[in-house]
Amino acid sequence: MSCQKLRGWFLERYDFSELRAFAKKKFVPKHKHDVWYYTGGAALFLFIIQFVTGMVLAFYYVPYFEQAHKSIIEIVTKLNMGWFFRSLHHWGAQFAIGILFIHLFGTLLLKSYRKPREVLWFSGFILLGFSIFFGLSGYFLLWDERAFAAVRVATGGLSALPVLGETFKAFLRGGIDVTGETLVRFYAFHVCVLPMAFLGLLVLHLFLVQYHGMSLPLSQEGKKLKQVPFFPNVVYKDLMVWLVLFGIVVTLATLLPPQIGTKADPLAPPPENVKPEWYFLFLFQTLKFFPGDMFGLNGEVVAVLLVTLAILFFFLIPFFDRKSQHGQRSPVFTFIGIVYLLYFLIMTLVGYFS
Amino acid sequence: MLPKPGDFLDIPANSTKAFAWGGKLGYIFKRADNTVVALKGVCSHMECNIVYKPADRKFYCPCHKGWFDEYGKNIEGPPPKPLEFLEYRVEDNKLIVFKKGVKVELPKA
Repeated sequence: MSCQKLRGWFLERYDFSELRAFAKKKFVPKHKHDVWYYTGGAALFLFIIQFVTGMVLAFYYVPYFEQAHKSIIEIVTKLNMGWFFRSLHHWGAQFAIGILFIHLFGTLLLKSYRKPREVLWFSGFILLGFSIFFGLSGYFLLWDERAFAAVRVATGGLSALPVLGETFKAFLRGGIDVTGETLVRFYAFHVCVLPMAFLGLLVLHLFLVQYHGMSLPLSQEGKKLKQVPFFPNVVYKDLMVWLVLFGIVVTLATLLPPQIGTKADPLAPPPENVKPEWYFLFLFQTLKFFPGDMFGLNGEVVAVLLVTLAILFFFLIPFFDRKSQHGQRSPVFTFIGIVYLLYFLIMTLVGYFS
Repeated sequence: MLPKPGDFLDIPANSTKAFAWGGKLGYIFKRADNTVVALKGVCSHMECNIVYKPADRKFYCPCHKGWFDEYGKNIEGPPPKPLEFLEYRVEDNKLIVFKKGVKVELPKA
């Protein structure tokens, strides 16, 4: 069948005029902050890489504690291009989470979460939470010493939460301790539960972006701005960003393939100066700073509760920031946003260099 | 229940020997003064495995840099509680380690 015929076949059955009209109608405002619009698309692209490379790796990975570590070593040493897919999956994850944080702080500081886009903020925030859990469950699959310690700490910290803490912990671990059961469970989260939940929420997030249109920063509201057509101008720019990103990720994956640590031994102490992935360093450093005893209270519980409250406040910020809800400038929340950003950056650096 | 109690109880002073306490790490620990105790080798902070540093005569947790003295007391860093000690006795040439206050009887062969 020729292309013309195939086209005719579809046109006879489907009406594309609405789609075409939508594409023609969609415009994106041009202003000095519009570079932030590309961070969401970049994150989307990295997740496409993650899904594809993840599927390839799932063909060969064995989610059983006696073989998991060995199966990864075989993927990177025996399979044709196996090392590349594993390395790309690793670097793709680093960049995906990095760009999500950039996307998050951009949205925060430009106050794009304000009315009517609260649900966009909530869905994005939960998507970041899913991504971090993707990260944790992903590097646990290596079944090496570092991952083992990290998952013990991350799930163990939950037990400091009141009421449901112990239940959550047992649910995530699949028992009272981190064992081979936990590996199977984290595998199921990583390749089934999280991707499904993630995709569902991503569809909502993207739909809402279309529904509301691009958010304008408060400083640009009321100005007469040039409108750029989404198709093809913005799409081309998006694709250029994706291409550059792809180049960077592939280069890093080729030149700096990630290490695989020593196989986890539940009875061995973790290696000296063990550290989690960089996006957990700010939490790790926070836990280190809190002494065991704080004015007679359990320092661990105080630390976990404070972190939980800080994250909850961050999540609910659209409701607290009343001024920007009404379209007014709200320097207090810009300040709060900068405090959050600085805390994240400084604690990450202190954790990295300590 | 561990066979060959001698392997555990006759270790040199100021050293430890690990055993599996269920899925967790357990230590038989002989202090510098030759007293022998059994304890859980798990940090009271975030459940990482701890390690004994004979030179300092302290237990150390590498995860968040927590320190415990020879008596399991949390002396430095984030750990909120002391280490958990276990009890042990030797019976029928077997070393039986159990939680404090739990009655353990060997099955009759």
